[in-house]
Amino acid sequence: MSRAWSVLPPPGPLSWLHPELAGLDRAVRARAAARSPVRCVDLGAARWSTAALASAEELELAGGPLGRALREHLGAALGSGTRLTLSEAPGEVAGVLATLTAGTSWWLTPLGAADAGAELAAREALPLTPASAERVRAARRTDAAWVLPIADARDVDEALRALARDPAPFRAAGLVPFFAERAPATSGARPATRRASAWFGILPGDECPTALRLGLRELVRLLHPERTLAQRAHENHALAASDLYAQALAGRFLAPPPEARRARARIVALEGIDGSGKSSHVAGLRAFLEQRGVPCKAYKIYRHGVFHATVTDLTRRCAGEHELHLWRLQRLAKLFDSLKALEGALRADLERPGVLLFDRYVFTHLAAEAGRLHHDPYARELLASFPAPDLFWLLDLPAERALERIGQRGERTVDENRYMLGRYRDVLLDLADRRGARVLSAEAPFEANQAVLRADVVRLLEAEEVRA
Amino acid sequence: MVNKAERRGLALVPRFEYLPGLALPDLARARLALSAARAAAERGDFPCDLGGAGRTADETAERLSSAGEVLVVAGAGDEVARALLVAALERRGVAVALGAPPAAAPGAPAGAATGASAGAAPSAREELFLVAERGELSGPGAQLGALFERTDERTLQRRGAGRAAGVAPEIERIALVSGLAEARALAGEAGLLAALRVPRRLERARLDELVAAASELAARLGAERVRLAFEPRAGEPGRLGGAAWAARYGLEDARLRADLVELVDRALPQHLGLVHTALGYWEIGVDPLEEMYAGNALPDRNAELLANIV
Repeated sequence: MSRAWSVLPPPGPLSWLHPELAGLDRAVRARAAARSPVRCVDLGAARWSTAALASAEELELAGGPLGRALREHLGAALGSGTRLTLSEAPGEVAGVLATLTAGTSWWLTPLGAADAGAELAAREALPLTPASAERVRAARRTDAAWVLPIADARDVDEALRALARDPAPFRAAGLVPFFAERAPATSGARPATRRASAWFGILPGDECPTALRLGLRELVRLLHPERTLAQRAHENHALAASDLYAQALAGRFLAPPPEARRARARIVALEGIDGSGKSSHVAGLRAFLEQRGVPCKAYKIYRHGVFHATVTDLTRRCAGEHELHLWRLQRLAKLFDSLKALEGALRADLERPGVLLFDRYVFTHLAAEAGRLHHDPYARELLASFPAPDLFWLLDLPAERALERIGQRGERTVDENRYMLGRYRDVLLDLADRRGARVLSAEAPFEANQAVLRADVVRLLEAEEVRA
Repeated sequence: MVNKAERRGLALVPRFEYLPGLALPDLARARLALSAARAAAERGDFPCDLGGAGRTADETAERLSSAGEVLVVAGAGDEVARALLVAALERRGVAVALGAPPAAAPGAPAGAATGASAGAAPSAREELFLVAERGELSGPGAQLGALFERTDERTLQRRGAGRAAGVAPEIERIALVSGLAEARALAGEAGLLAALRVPRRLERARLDELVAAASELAARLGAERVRLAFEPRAGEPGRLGGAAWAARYGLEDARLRADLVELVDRALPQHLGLVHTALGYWEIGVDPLEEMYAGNALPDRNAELLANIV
């Protein structure tokens, strides 16, 4: 018996946004599975596991953008023991959609095809008129979809003109607009991002001019108003190079978050936005502990200097909405720098008795990512090397007040603007709530806050003594 | 002529739904949408946005800026969206009142002008059947009173047409079914949309039963016609896990989270990727739909983000 299997990838972001495409996909998949001379595994229709797939000698993945994404995932998950190939012909609606010519709307009718070998041969191009909309609406079935491939701003303008008078018939017919896939860097223009394969249909490719993107937003709003915010969220994640499909394939969030081994030193984390007074409080606490004979060190895991300046240079390239994936890359660079700090002197200090005071801890990383990208570039996993803090305080300060304080310091960093300081604050407050942190107003007198911090530390140390 | 100060507008804030193709819309919120739509239809031409047009808070406020005052209506769990819209209106100098939509006359049409929609649903005229707990019909069906009229012991009939109804406008009749065995028998009929009730506490046998029923219904009706109706929480949904939506689906409960994944994995696997993604949002405490409503998409904020260094 052959040990080669044919594999159909599970539905991706385009179907998450437009579920009718998943329905269409399923009809095509059933036919593909029935025709397949080898065992056909449809990952969108049955339970599966990487371990089960590993028992095949060869997996032939259906062509198309999702197949490419699946190959990348399985290549990493299965190693070299299983041969992975991509079939030439797209075996999924996604693959066919990716090859449609732009500027025409198509009615896909897979089950009506006469030729069983080309299930989508019966697709029919329809003009974008109310009469077409009525025809589609009257004949609408779960195994057909009316789709509008968009390649450039001209296509968007034409579609918006066609819908301008009354989008209702097109809405009723369920017209689905999507970006037709293009080869990377076709025009030589600076790319908007490095788009992951699975975001096909949401963005045309690496190049995605603002006017084109905004035009598609408006098309989706007119045709599927209830999906507009989801479409914008997908677009945001695609531009920020967050590959949610790959994360879903890997089951990233099914397991509980990894936890670091408890350190011997007590970890005390002071968080807050710029200007909230963290450094002064850390210095005050350090002096207090040293006076009491408690071994104590202060750490900063967010470093400045040449490293920081280089990352800032990288970030500057995002100007003009170009190369937005660099926002994610600069976050990764900063995460790795904190890990580098951990693997230096800090690692040894974690294993010694005493108190380690952190002027910002892992929560600042989490706030930066959630605040700016609305996701995280594997920060949860990367930061798991840091032990959970024994004490976590948040010095809370409104962004406006922080900017007043920062104003006297000279040149501002990339994050020292009203929007980002506000985002940091919002996420830190949420994290403080979820992690049971004590929140102090940074506008309270220094001595009052310092007294609270010292009392908390003393309680922590006394509890330790009792346990010892 | 009515001057700006005298013009009163109405706004219903949007609901952020992460699993619209899998979960039945929140029926309490749907009632609110219906009553707002009726009030809007009755009052005719006035500044109005019923939260279903896909606009951000700023875009909505801009549309309503001709009003002197806007009545902002929000359901339980929509507090963040309400705060965003209120702030956007106030930035434009529009006075804000908070409250319930004004009562409409009985039988007033829920006009098509609302633009509100209840999420992805089949387009044909459909019937819906809701599966209650064993022997009881007190589950989600009991909340449909404002939208549907009970014509006999097992049937709810739509009262009025309109896109504001939360169970999708195409659904004309709802059959209340007691128990999964009865649901399976009924599922032989074409054109049905099925909503299986998922209780807050699932025993192993009950989960297996739900999986079997969902699989069978998906095979008969098509998976896109099967929904899960999550048992409402007692009291107000909070912001656990960073979002009220997560609380609505029960994601703050580790066991129900695992049960949901297993149910979807075994019976409705086409939703699995999106369920994983939603779990990820909950896990890292983000609410991307809320961010989009707030106008915080990365490309939209990019220039602001670079202000200090470019």
